[in-house]
Amino acid sequence: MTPKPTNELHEGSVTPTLIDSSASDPFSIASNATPQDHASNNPVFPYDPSAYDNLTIIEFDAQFASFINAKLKEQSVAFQQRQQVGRRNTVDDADDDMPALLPPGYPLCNDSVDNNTGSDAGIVPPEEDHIASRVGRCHRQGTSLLSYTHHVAFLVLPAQMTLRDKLAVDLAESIDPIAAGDPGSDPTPFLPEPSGLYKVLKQPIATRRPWIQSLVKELRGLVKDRGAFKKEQLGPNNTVVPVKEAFKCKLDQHGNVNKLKARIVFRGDLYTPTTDIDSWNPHATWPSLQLYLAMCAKFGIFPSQADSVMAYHQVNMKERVFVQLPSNWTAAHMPDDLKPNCSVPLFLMKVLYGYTFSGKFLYEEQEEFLISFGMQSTPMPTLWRMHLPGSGILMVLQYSDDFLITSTDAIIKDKFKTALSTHFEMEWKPQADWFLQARIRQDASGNISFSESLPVLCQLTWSGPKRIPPRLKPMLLILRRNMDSNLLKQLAP
Amino acid sequence: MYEELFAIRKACKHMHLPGCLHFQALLHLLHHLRCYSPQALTYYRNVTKSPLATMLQEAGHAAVDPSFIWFCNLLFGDCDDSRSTGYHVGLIQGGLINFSSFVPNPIAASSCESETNTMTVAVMASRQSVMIYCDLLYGNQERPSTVPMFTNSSSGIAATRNQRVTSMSCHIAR
Repeated sequence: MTPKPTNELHEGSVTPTLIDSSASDPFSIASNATPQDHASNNPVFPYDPSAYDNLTIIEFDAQFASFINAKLKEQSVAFQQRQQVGRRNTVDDADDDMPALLPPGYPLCNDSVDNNTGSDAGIVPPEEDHIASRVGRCHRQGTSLLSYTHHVAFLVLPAQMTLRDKLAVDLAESIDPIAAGDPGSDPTPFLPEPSGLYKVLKQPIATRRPWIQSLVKELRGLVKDRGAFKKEQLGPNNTVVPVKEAFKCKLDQHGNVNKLKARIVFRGDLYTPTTDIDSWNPHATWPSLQLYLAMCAKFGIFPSQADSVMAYHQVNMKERVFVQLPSNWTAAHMPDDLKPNCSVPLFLMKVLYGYTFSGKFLYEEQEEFLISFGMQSTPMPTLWRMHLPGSGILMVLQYSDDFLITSTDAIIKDKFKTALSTHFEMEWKPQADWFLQARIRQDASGNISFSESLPVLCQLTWSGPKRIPPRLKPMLLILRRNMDSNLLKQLAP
Repeated sequence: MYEELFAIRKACKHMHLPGCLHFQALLHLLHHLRCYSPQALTYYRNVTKSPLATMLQEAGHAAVDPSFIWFCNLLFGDCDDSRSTGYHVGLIQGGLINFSSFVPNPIAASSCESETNTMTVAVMASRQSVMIYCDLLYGNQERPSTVPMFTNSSSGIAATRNQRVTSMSCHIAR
């Protein structure tokens, strides 16, 4: 080993953040403390340049990596102990096998699972995927931090060191750790999702707080933004229907948390409709999507996508229905401005999820809009078209709150976009990405393809082994053994 | 493509309580799919450059327009109870738009009648697609349009060509 890398170690530039956050950190090599202090504390990693004279680069690499591994292992063990102590203080809950807040198969803290001989040996995700996911989460957290740590790693570590990228990610995480429930964090504490608020209230504070925040956000959106509820006197014939809450942890493409979502849901099973109308409404199907994309390829165009924000909550009620929010919501740290809405009969102004005719009312509003714009229906349900002068066409495919819009004329498409956004609150994507759980792609020569294999693979790879029911385990094992890490890369665009 | 469709259907039936053999079969199927991916969910801007057009040329059907085409297969029998099975697949721009695999009525070991029935179902499915296709392209659902259909049942072709009653026909060699 030449002394060159060690010289670089001492010359590395630092910021106050780095020094503060790394009192016993391996990355404090760049701080102002003298090398001798470190050498006395950490005999594993000597800072005396003369110690490296007889080492090759690979040996130095290995030594440095093992040192950092040991440090991280220490931290993770301490972290797990803290978690267990925290859980003992909480109320005894039903699902007691809640895992720690570290990702499944985390290579640095797998003390309990023997990687070589254990039965779960085949299930540990490949190393490259793991790094990719962690890089992904750092990207979400802020690209500037990651690029900064890469810069530091570039300055401090030798260029031949194979683990440099990984250590840069480790450094980024140690400076700014992701809180549980944030986008990009580990989903395991939130899975399986709690079935109700009473389950949430029994959970430790780290998971309870994000869930309750999501519920408050949903209720505030309904009450303040949409004006979905109105206080009104109950009539003699009116019955009150309860609502409940549903929680969902949405994952991103790396298997990390994308969003923690709470929905306030109408108890449609406890409600008897007063009118006798059919609640059926058409939806897009696989054949309609396939035909739509085939026609897009024929015309040489690619669809845009419009997605409603809280679609059902934009639709006006056409019936007289009263609902009541559960009384235990007041106990769940509800803000004061929302508390008066709980446990009081409320007149429903907008459609809620779970209501018998929510899909039908939404479809009726959309149909009305599409006809007013001049679109005509086709024999395929939910596929709408408008012929333009000069053999042009505007085609719309609709699946409850999702629209795929394509046209040979960009001006007509813009007009449609403007008209749509005046009627509904929409998120507009110029290039369609996901529709009906399938990923739609176009290559350079105009060929359109779609595949649903990527979400399935992501689900299989990243649902941790602890959470798979025992009867599905052999299935997963077989899939894992037959699926190398390159397959995922091939499928990714 | 037909064989894979049928194999997937068959595997799905056993996946509620799979045994060792079923896992072996599943492995085999997954391996096959990985090595020979059908590439049927791609819609080609220029359909003459699609794999479908190449296949047609190799089979000696270069004159057929590959942009809208239908295939109907009756050759395979169910290995469990030797029922005749029918498949049909519709393709626009070299990509799949409609498919079905089913056991045609009457249930028999590939009689002429069951094969004719399968072809009829395939024609019905194709007519609906033609209707939408013409509606989108020309704005007229009733516009006459012909879809080339390939089938491997010579008895089915013979039965549809003449006017005889075929309801009681027995097995005709294919």
